Amino acid sequence: MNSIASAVIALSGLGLIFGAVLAWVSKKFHVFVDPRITKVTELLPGINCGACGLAGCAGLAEAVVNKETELAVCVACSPENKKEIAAVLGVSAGDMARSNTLAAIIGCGGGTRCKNKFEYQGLKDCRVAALTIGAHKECRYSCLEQGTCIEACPFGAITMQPEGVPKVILERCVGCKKCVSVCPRRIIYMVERKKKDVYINCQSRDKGAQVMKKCKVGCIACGKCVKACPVNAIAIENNLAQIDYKKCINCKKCVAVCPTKAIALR
Amino acid sequence: MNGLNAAMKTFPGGKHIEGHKQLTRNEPICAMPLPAQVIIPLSQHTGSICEPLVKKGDKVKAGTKIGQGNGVVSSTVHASVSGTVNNISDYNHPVLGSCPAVIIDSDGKDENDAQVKERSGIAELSKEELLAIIKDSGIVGLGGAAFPTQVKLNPPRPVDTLIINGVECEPYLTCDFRLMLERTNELLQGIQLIQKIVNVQKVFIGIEEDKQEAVLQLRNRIMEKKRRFEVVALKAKYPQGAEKQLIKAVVGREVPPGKLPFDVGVIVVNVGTAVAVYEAVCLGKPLYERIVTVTGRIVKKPANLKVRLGTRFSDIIAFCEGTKEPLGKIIMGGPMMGLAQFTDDVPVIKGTSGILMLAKDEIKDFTETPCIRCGRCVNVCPVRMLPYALSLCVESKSFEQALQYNPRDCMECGACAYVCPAKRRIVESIRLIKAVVK
Amino acid sequence: MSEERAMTLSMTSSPHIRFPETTSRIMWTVFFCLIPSGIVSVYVFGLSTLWIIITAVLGAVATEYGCGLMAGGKNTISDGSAALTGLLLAYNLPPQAPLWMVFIGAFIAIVFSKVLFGGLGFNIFNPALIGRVFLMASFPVLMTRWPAPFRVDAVTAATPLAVFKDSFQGTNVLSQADIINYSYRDLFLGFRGGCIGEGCVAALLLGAVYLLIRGYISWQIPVSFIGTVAVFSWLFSGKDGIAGGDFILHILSGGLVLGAFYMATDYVTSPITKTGQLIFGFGCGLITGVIRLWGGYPEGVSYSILLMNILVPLLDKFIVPRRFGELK
Repeated sequence: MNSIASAVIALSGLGLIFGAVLAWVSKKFHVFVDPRITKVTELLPGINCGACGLAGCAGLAEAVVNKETELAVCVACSPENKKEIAAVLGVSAGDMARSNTLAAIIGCGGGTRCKNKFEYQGLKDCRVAALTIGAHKECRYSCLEQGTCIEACPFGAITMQPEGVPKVILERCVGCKKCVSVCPRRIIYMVERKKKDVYINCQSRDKGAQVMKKCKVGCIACGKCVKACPVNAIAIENNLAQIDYKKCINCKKCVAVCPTKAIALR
Repeated sequence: MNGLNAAMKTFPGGKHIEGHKQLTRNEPICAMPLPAQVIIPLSQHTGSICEPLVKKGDKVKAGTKIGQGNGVVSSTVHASVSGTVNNISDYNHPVLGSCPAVIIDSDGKDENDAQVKERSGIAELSKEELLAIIKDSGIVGLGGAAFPTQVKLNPPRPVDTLIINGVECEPYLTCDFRLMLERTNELLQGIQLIQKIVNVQKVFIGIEEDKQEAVLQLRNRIMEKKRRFEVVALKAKYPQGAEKQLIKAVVGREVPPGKLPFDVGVIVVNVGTAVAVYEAVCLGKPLYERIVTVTGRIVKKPANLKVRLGTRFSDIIAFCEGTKEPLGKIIMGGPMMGLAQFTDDVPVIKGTSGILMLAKDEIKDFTETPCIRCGRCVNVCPVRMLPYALSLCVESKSFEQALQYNPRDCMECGACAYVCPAKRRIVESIRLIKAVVK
Repeated sequence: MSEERAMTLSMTSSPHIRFPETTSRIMWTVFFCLIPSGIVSVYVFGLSTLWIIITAVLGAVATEYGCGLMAGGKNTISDGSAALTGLLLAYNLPPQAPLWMVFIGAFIAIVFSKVLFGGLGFNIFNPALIGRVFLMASFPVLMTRWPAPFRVDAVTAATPLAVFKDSFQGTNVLSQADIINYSYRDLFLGFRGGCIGEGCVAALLLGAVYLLIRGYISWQIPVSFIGTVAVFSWLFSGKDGIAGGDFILHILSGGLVLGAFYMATDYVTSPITKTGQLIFGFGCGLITGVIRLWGGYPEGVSYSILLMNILVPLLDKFIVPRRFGELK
């Protein structure tokens, strides 16, 4: 009987002491978490692509709630979710709902149609391939074909084509620019996604004759597209055609006249 | 051996690697006949690319300045034969893949430029004048990295020690060894000039014990000439020729990560560079030729050749009568840090210490297997990194995590990949990490 | 230069030469270094041990092969690690272990401590020891039936460590018939009861010396492991309190030599750095000593290695070489 009593007393005593300590600690070290942050985090895509430049989606949620940044920096969040987040924060949906209008384009159609200097045998990563005595392609502006952008894309929006060069799937691309940052050749660029289908599928600044020697689908700066364009949206700079998308009316006449198919459709 | 073994210095880590030096170590330096054409890339060294000073059709002579760089870290390039400028255009380059180059057709006369003449009154030349001569003569580090020598010899803070690098730890290569044997006097004069420029009392010449003849000859000649240079015999171990490892071996100082040798009061100069300094200052001869070891088990006549810069590898290989077996690989430099070449139509540049040819059976591509964490890479790593950890980071694509292992400390000596029983591509992995986290 | 010739030149990255050493050669060398000990145990305990060894090796290899097939046709048996696991498992089993049990042990060793962790290089625990410990927990009676040397079918006898423990802890439960007094010479040559491969210290040392010379194992783990056990048992296993214990008995008995030279030194499950290895060996020795003297089992080598295996990632994280050029 005595032993039972002492056990009960001892354990209850311990319980009281620990409880008091815990209560004190939880008060002392309490961290206030805004419940809105949790909600916003849930509404964000949660793929931590890093395009906003913050520490993942949770970081962005915190910044948005604390009004340190605008939700517009998130390129991956759907317009519906952005509206909901606006509701959580009690602000008008207008600004919040603005989505990214850019999508990536891989500006090289080379691959098997661009000559190799040698067969690359190193680690399967473009960034290492670029270090192997100036890379294995004849063209120094060409895609290195190791698929580093494909791996880097958090949305699975880039696929390898049979020709050995990757291509962006427009519908999946959210414009996070991850691929742009990993490409050692800097051939990936961002273009308005709306209705402008044409793009220059080459980045070579070499002279036309040199390009022809190296690649079947490179821009040879022949100027046919410049003449064909009804709105003067194309100019040749540094031996490479450039489209001014502000002027472009998407008539696709340049695509038809390009002798090397260096102007392509998305 | 006595006296050599007495105090054999070295650095911690590293590994003795079978040298294959017997292929060429007894081949005296032999001047290769002039090639019909030379290709002189306008980028031969670390720093800014040179602007061409000549145009198509110009007549040049051996030693005529044909390219000049702007900026602090830059150097000069010279014509290596007399003849006519055929063209200035992109050409294959052993390091960059492709680079603008001056292509010169030789007229076979091998006339020297008027500037190339013996200089008198050397003793009166000031430090600044000497540095200007070195810059004007296009001298860069001949050990491989090709850093402009006048920049190296003019450190932003005073140093107290000069180390002459005669280590040549890369297997197969013997050009520095032959140079030390055959051009001892020129070497010593070059060292004295450099000593004057950097104004130091202590001069060490580091040589590995397997080059005993060079150690003994240099010691004798130093005694004869009553110079106060100390020849330090080092235990043969790769990569002792790396600057930081050599400094550790010779004077026991460790260069902190991201710092340069002068931060610990040391300057390291390659023996070839010292001889080039002598030639430039005393003979007025710019750097337009160098010694190249042409070697490999399958080479019919391995040799140490004095070659004009811009000579095609193919010409050199033909001079050595080609190979006994089909070529598997051509490497510029040694087998540990050299660069594989995709063609033999590539010119010799200032950093070309050797041309190594390997047969197909010498380069069988090893299949990569899982890391068994045996620790061999950690034991050999001369900068005490954890190479296995970095290679595992690449395997799991966790580049952020790789940062904690100090990937930038790596100089890509390849000792880790050499010893790895799992044949992992450790050096490539570290290269990738460095490219990603830069 | 013609186009075709250009394409035939290899462009792999530096270093262009590799030291002629492979994972499989290391594994098979360790395998063959273990064989003498197996031969002695066949001599001491009879042919049944040979069948156990064959079953364990083939079982481990077959399991590895099967797992490789399921994982997409990767054939990983040629690296020799599975065979080595099988052999080490056999060496940790009693000479009369039934073959079905041996196979289960090999299966568990490969699947649960290796394949499920991602295969060679990713396992945390020594696979052979996981197999043994699993069998110990599942079939305690079968795993502790020790035949007396050279009289396999007739007599069972206590192992030297069991005898030691019985008297050390003062339980005195062993009958006199069970106790054989072995000389140091018997222990050294393996003429004693115990697991298959652990007995013949002489044969094990022979292989270990070769491995040390070849640089396949480093001295740090075995020396600190055995050294710690020796000091520990000298200090605490004596009859009259501190010091004076029979440390030679402790070194020569049980699986200490096998464990210290062949199992604690397993690359994958031991620390990378030399300092880490010294600590690892010390820890193994300490735990072995504690279990042998005061634990529930007469033998503690397997458990000590497994427990220290847990610490390896921690040791590798915190015991790293001083960065070159960093201040001391």
